[in-house]
Amino acid sequence: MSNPLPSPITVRSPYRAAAPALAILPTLAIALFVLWPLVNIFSRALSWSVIARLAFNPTIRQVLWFSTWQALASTTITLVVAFPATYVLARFRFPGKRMLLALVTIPFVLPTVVVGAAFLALLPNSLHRSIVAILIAHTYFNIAVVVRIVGRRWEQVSPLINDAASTLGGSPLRIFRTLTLPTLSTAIRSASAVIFLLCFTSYGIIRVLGGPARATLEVEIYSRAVQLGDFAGAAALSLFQLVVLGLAMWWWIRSTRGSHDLARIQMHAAVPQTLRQRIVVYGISATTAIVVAAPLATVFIRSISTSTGVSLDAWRLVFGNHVTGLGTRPPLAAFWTSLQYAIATAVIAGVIGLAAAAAIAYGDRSTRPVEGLVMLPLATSAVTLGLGLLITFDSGITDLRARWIMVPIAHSLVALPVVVRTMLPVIRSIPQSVRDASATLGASKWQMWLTIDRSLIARAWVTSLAFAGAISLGEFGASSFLTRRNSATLPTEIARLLGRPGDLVQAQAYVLASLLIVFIAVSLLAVDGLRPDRVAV
Amino acid sequence: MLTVDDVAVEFGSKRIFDHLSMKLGSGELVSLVGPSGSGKTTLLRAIAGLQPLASGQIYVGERNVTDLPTYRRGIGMVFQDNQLFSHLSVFENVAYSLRIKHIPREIREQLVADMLKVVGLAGFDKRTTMQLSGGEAKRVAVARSLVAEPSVLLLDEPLSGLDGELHARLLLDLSVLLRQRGTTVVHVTHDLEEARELSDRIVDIRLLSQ
Repeated sequence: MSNPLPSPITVRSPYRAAAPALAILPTLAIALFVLWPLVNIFSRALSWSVIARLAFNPTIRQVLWFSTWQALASTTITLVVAFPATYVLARFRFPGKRMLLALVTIPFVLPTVVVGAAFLALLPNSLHRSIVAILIAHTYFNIAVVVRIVGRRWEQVSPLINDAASTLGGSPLRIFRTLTLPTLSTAIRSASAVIFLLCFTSYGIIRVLGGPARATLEVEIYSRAVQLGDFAGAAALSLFQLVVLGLAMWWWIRSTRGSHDLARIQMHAAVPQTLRQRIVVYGISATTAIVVAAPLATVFIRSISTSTGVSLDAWRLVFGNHVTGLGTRPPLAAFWTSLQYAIATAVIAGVIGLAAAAAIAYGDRSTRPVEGLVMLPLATSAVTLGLGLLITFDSGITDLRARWIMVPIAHSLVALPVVVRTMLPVIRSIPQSVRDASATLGASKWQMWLTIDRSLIARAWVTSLAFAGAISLGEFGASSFLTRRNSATLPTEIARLLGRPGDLVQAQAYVLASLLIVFIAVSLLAVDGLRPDRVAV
Repeated sequence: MLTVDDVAVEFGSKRIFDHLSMKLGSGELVSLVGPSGSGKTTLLRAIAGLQPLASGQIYVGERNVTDLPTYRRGIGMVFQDNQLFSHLSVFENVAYSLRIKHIPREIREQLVADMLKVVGLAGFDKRTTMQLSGGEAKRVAVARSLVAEPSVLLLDEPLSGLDGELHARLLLDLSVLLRQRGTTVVHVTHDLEEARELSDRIVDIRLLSQ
């Protein structure tokens, strides 16, 4: 029998006394801006008359059915479409691989409104406002989920396992069925759950591509609250959606628990050797690059296209600060508003996230619940968050609805899980031995933190600020509830302009989308340059 | 039984070996030795069809297998790190090739039970591969290859990583088992003592290239 690995020695953090104090700020923030609004939603929704009214409403049943089946279909199609690219990126080493991986990731970090706008520009008019357009956009948006989650698992599997099966008589198809698929099954389930959740709660893409006949639960919540003024109905649907998301997450955690740990060694991908391998690798890479880049390019092309041909009129109008499309202020104002919100979000999420990550990493059992608390916004959709904030902070001393700070607060809540997840592994990876060494050289705990932890955490913190800023720039769900005409963000302004008639008005939406793509790409490039791949100790 | 005729293998522009030839009679056990990087494992992989040839031919008996995929060659291989399928039990690992050949379940169970007995692992069938020691995992890897009844068995440093008494015991067991079954074997090792114990003939790979 193999000797079990010795259990790791648990080293208590020298900063554990500070952890409860650090936990106060994130706990208060989540309690005030997530839990209280959720309780408010529950209290409005938990009325038999509201539930009965919705349960027997054929429109709601249609919305539920549509949300579910389109999410299932989108998940299945994404898995199939993304599989070749996942295979090539996981199993082979070739020139341009890093660039292809970055390119494939871009759709996932783009605002969903921009993805919707891209397909509105790319697809023929006959496919606009169709289920086909929605499925294509969902697939495009989620390819990165499969490539990252399934690919990461696949590249860990030793190619020698396949060789061994080959020498036992296994054909490539049989090896794929009996070894590769079972090996990847957990990762496939994980990716499926993530894609299903994202598509079930799809909002931006449906708002742009869905049309009135095709609404997900998320869009219906928005319509009821904002267009019909039915807050009780919207709250009941939010509650229902929370239950569905909770169940889906429970299933996901349960299905991925106790999975087989097949390969613990990171294997290097192989250089394609045979002509057949080279054709497969370069063929799939080129096709993937074209498929991913085409919608992005179309956004730029559409921004310089009008009925009279190529024209920079839309760019001139946007940068000339002209009021357009029945608006009350020029579209470029949304750009500056978004930038301010992004900076405020980075500051708020950065401070709360740092406190939360430190409380979790340095603390013991008493601060462990903070980890679950800060992940709560992830399980709550952005629209539900926006609705909760809207109905909670609407009167008396808590009337913050019209204050500009409400939007960055909402964006910070959406960004908080990402900020914490970016910093936590870095803080946890700091070896206690390094701190011990500084203590033996005479450093007090505070000096130890300043000289060791702070310098090692700094890059991860700046990275998380860039992430928070990028998330704020593209956030659409909560913003649709909380922004006004005079405080529109880039995504809400793009959605507004796309809904107006006129070539030139729509071209301006694509100018803003182009700016958003460039801005987010720059933010992520900055993140890539700062990525704390390993702690340099 | 096995003929390697004037083969060459390249990695990119680097030629690992060329004009390499060797012949093994039926039931013969040959140990290949040579310094690290001389291409011993590469030669085994080329014989198995896991490494494309730049030139040359490989025959099993009279059959030219050069252009056949690995799974059609009838050549088994025991890998240095075993490469057991860790999502399958010991029984399922050993039965893998029998399932591929659609051997009926009862016969499959009997063959696996017999083979596990032969390698000294009777009663281990329900264990997961994680529950095996280094020596036990090695025995499962050998059993998995032998139950497929390959025409030729390739052993790539099969006892590396095992030391002292365990190494000696497994070496003896392996030697007896392979001779009893009359399997044709190409064995790669850097341990001359192991080569002497196991094989009929020891060949330095550098002498195979003309």
